[in-house]
Amino acid sequence: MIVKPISCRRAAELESKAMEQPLSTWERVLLRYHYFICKHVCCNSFKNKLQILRSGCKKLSDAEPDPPASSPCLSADCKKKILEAIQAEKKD
Amino acid sequence: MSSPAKDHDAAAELDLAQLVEEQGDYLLHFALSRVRDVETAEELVQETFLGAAKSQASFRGQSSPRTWLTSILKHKILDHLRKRTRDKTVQFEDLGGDETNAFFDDTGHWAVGAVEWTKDPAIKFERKEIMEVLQSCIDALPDKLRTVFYLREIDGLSTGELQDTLGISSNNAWVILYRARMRLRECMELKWFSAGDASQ
Repeated sequence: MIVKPISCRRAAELESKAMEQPLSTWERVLLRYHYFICKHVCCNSFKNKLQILRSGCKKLSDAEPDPPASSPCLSADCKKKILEAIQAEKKD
Repeated sequence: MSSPAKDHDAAAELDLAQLVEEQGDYLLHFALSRVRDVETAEELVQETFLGAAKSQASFRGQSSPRTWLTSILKHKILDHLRKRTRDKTVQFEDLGGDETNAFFDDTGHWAVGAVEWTKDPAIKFERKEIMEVLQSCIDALPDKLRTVFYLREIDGLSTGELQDTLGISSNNAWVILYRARMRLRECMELKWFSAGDASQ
């Protein structure tokens, strides 16, 4: 059987898909064959970069950082409504 | 395990009015990252504090008030997104043009050069600056990509849960996440890894 090589683009799509679910045997064969014949530095590092991004997101999720200075603040009107709702809840 | 008396103390110590001041802006940003519209985000924060007032007794003090309020807000956001999906207000199935085309040539091979990431010690994300760049890159994603990416990578929803919440097929979830990751990769390279003094 002749394996038709996939493009770097298809390889990148498959690497991203692999972050969500195990690839099929055929998809793994295509990916492995691509890396065998492709020496582009972007392909070599792409999977690693996806994993780095995921680990950064995990840390971002755990850290619960303060919002950036450019992010909108809760309006005075909204705060007032919240405090009124809390007071009403306490009375009930 | 906490004692009932300790649980009661933790709940009694919660001053929700003070938490509105301390955590309101954080919660608004959290909601805005996932729903974009300020008015809706403020409504979700209001519902969160009302929910917190109703369930104040359940606060055990085992997590921070921010974590506790965030977990309530997460549920409010998912309910809102499910409702929006049911009402067909936003169509996540409509993916639009593929913005990743620019990264490849006509034959599907990379059209861009590679930037080395792993040599940068900040890549462990222990520095505040790189975390801020990552957050700004995620926040700069187009609406649909950002919502799906936040739900999957920050909130930890599975592809199946994305399907349930946003009404998207697994295949479209993969496509959206792929596009989001490609853009994030580019954004991090532009704003951090290629920036001359970023890793100093």
